[in-house]
Amino acid sequence: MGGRSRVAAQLLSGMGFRDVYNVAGGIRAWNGAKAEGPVEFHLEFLTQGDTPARILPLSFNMEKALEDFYLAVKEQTGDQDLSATVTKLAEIEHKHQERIMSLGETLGVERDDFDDAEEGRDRRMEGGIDVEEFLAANKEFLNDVEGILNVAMIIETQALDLYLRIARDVKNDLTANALYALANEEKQHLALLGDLLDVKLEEKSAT
Amino acid sequence: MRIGKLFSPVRSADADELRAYMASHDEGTYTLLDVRQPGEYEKEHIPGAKLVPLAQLTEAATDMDPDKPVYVY
Repeated sequence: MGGRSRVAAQLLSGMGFRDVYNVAGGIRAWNGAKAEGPVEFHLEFLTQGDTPARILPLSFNMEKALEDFYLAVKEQTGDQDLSATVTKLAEIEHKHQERIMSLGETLGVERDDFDDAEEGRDRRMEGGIDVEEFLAANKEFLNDVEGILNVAMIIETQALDLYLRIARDVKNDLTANALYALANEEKQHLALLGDLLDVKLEEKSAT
Repeated sequence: MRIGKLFSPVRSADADELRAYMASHDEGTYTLLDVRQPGEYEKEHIPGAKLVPLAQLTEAATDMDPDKPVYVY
């Protein structure tokens, strides 16, 4: 399972670490194996401007993509623990969308800006996140519960990274605090997913 | 938000480069981070690696020196 270290390295460089290297292939490569990791969400849209009218719709899309990912996993998996976890997480990501939307209202972001962003989601050239494409690209990494948890941790880390980076730069306190609150919750999701991954790896090694 | 800052590409080092780096640098002058779960770390890890699961990374990073090179796996 690869890919977590790459998003971790991104997170660290966003926090001001100057000299960060992702060890390609991780522990498997260390042991001599060749390994390719899953791909992350396509996040080119982040190069846009810094107004709440830009940031919030993009954050909204990230949450929508997370929710869609969890719902797709729920649809596919036969593992009860995983199903329960992704159901819960999908609900929270849905609430995040509502929170972002209402923050937008408070800050005077037009509904149209959210709608435009949502339309952009399906257009890859616009840098949107296409969950089906993402799932297809990661098909080989989503065959078992551990693989799914690994990919989930990658995208939760991306969401965390996104919020922390924007929150540090944003001028408006209300927006920054709302983004930090979202970041904290994604961090809790990471802990939840990590705990489940430990349980599943243990179950696997016991059989 | 500075455009481009979000996309500072992450550099990567392969296992051989890491081996060479570790052989030629003193302990304590760099950080080798294992961001996997404790169960995975216990099973096997690169000698000298510090375990910091993803969920704890932002907290742990505040105690780390941002000027020291960090290798992550």
